[in-house]
Amino acid sequence: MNTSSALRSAWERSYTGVNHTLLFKNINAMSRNKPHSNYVAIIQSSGTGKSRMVHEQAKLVFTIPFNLRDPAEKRGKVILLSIMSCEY
Amino acid sequence: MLALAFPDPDEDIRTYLLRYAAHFDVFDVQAYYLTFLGVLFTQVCHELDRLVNAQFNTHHDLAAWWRGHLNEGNNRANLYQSITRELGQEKISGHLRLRNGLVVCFFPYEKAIFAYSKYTVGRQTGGCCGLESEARGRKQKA
Repeated sequence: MNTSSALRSAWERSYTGVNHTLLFKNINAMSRNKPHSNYVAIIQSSGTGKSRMVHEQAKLVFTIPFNLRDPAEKRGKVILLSIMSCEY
Repeated sequence: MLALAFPDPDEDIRTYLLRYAAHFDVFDVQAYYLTFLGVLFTQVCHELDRLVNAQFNTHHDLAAWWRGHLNEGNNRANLYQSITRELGQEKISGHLRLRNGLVVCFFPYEKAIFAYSKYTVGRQTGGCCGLESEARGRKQKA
């Protein structure tokens, strides 16, 4: 199995941990009544599970994910639009 | 640490968002991105209307279904391609009225974008062309 296949395979395995629920609770706790931007930066070394965490959070809230990484780069920059109150 | 990143980048979205970044001022960039979001949400709603037949019991169920849908095949890339294609077409010239009263005018072939809201120009809606001169004037004063 090459590295790319291994990464894809790992991505599809069961998620370990509860970090996605913590992220979800923290985002939900943000004030929406004040004129502040409701965004959060997740900073950590590459390969530590930032993208996977927000991917798991997408099970909890309707999410439109963008990966804005430069294709020439080897590390991810993920931007997610999470719609916290879904009327659909 | 890993030398490779996963998942793959959404190149269409990145290319669109960065296309004019070096040429626009802050007002134009905000309007440009708001126009993008307006079309994005519209297209996502169309996708949901087209695909969702069942009633979901909770928004978690819908979120999980949507997540799985984007993961399948080329669904994610196809959706984003449809959004950037829509944004690149002349037919979206005109204006988008967003729920909070913001009006975004987008003229791709003139490379001109304007955004207005009740907070910036004192009125909520109006003819796009009528507001254009007003916004130009406001921007020149700024």
